[in-house]
Amino acid sequence: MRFGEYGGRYAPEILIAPLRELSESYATFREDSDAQAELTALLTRYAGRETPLYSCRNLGRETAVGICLKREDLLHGGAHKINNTLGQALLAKRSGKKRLIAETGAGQHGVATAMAGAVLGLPVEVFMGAVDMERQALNVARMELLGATITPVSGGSATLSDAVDEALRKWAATAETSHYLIGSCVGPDPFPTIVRDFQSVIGRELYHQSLALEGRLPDVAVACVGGGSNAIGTFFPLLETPVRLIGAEAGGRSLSPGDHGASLSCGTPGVLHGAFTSVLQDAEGRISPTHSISAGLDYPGVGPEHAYLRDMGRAEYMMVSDAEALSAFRLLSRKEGIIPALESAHAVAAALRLAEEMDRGSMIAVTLSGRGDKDLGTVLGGCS
Amino acid sequence: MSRIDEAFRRSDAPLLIACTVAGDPTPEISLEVILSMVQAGADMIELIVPNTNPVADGPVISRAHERAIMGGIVIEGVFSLIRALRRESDIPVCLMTYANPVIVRGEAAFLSDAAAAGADGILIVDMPPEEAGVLLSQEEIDPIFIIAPTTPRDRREMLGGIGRGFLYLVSAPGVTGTRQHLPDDLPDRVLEVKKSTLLPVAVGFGIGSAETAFEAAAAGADAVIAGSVISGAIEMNPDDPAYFVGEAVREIRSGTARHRSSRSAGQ
Repeated sequence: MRFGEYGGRYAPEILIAPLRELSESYATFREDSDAQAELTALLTRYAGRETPLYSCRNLGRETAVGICLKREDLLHGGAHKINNTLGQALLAKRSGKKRLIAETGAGQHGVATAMAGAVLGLPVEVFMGAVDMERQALNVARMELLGATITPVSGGSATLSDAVDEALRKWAATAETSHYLIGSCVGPDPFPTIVRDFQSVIGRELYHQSLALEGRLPDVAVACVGGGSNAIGTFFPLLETPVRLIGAEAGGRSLSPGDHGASLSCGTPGVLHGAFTSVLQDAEGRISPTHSISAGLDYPGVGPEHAYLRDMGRAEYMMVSDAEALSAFRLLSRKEGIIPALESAHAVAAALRLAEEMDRGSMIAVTLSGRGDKDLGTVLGGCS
Repeated sequence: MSRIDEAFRRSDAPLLIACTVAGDPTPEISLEVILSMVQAGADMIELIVPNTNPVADGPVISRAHERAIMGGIVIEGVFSLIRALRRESDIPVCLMTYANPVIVRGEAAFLSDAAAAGADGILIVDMPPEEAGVLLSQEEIDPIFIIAPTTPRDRREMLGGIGRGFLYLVSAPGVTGTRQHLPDDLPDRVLEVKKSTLLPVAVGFGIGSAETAFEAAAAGADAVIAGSVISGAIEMNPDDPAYFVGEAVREIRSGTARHRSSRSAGQ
């Protein structure tokens, strides 16, 4: 399965049979009404769907542009990640897998996987960069409390990209009995499609809610893009509508290589973690280091479908700097009483920038992918 | 006949394929390491292209990738190493690389440049045949494919039909690295693969001692591949790796030689 020229299955031979098996079990899962009913029940009664579409009372007033927030931050675990982990964990369980492997950067996906593993009775091993473990000690503690085993990864820069490498290695050794629960719409086929489908509940609800509550579709839908799962989940159900789709990437502290995570705005075509996509790399094909104030956007690749949507002109991607994201983080907290994740603050910042150029009475929908409690250390630490 | 085919045809004992990451720890010392492997009795050199995300490699070779990148080698430098080796030896050379450097340079250009430098075969770890249209449609360099423990029979036959040079049989699930012993089912798996192909079968992953080399040879391998033990020797002896790499190759060699002598003693 390719998205235009992007995607594919650039995986070592040892993973080819497991990936084919996964494609087959996912095709069965999609058509299985029992499985779908079980997933819906978990999403509503366990995770807390549907999430509200909240029309901001104060934010955007100066420009007279309506800003609505799709409140994924209110989900169990505090982020959209649980949409995907419940889906994949259920898929794994129904296809007879005995354990889950996951990678995590900030720890949000690791926590969401640990929750799904706990509720479905599957042991979970999470790979996490040693540097990230230090930065996100609270999430490490949460995962442990939820019963997951955390394996530190010290190779490379000891962050998300290295954790993905290590999770892939572990899967290669244990694929017969374990499922690799990838955290974003990246990786070899069929992962980008599976993750997109499980996250598309965001865009489907957004579509119906905005018609029901606002009597119209938004002019623009905005979401942050690291790997891009909450964005593709927002965009995919809106592809056939006239809604303008905007992804907010990590502009970091500068546009020099190593200072940002803007794979779509600054990347070149290449293969990372099993997919042909837009990658931050040098002329030799070596992956560049990245930076973002938000760990979830600190990744040198991006889901291949985003690269396709960019090339088609169907979605646009803009860069939001660390400073802009921080200021949006504070503004949303003050104006609406909502502390967003720093990742989601990138989307809020992009929306505020867009609002300045839009007509009065326009409407922007922002996917608020997660809540910001996890980021207080970063934000407050950055002040002192 | 290619240098790879010729090497297999000429030998009545399992070949020893010695691997090192190109440029580990520096381009200059890496050439000494390669020449030392040749002198110590390697029958083929597998040269690994350094990569920032070596997902199929275990910790020892992953650190070798990091050292080589720190040591400053670029892709052109990998080709220079092959050219330098070619001035000294006709030993077959197989490149092992991840897909991204090949794709970024342009697949056709990378393959032509590798062949022009003197490489005989290329194994692109994360480019299965389904993604390898360019590789399969050229004649300049032999495409080498991996048979994994998870590879089903129909796929084994497909790979055995389209590969050239030899097939690389992975001894056990997981990533590269040395092991105490090879799995008990290895002889059966070698036999299965041989039924699926006319190509020689090389066994890799886990071979780092005379004992494991003997086990692979006794399992029916046409070649044994040693990698982590060599990267480990470089890591442990940063000042004079070439000598210790030579020792490691001789150690593996003694395992395949023991197989040959036990076989002739039995005749």
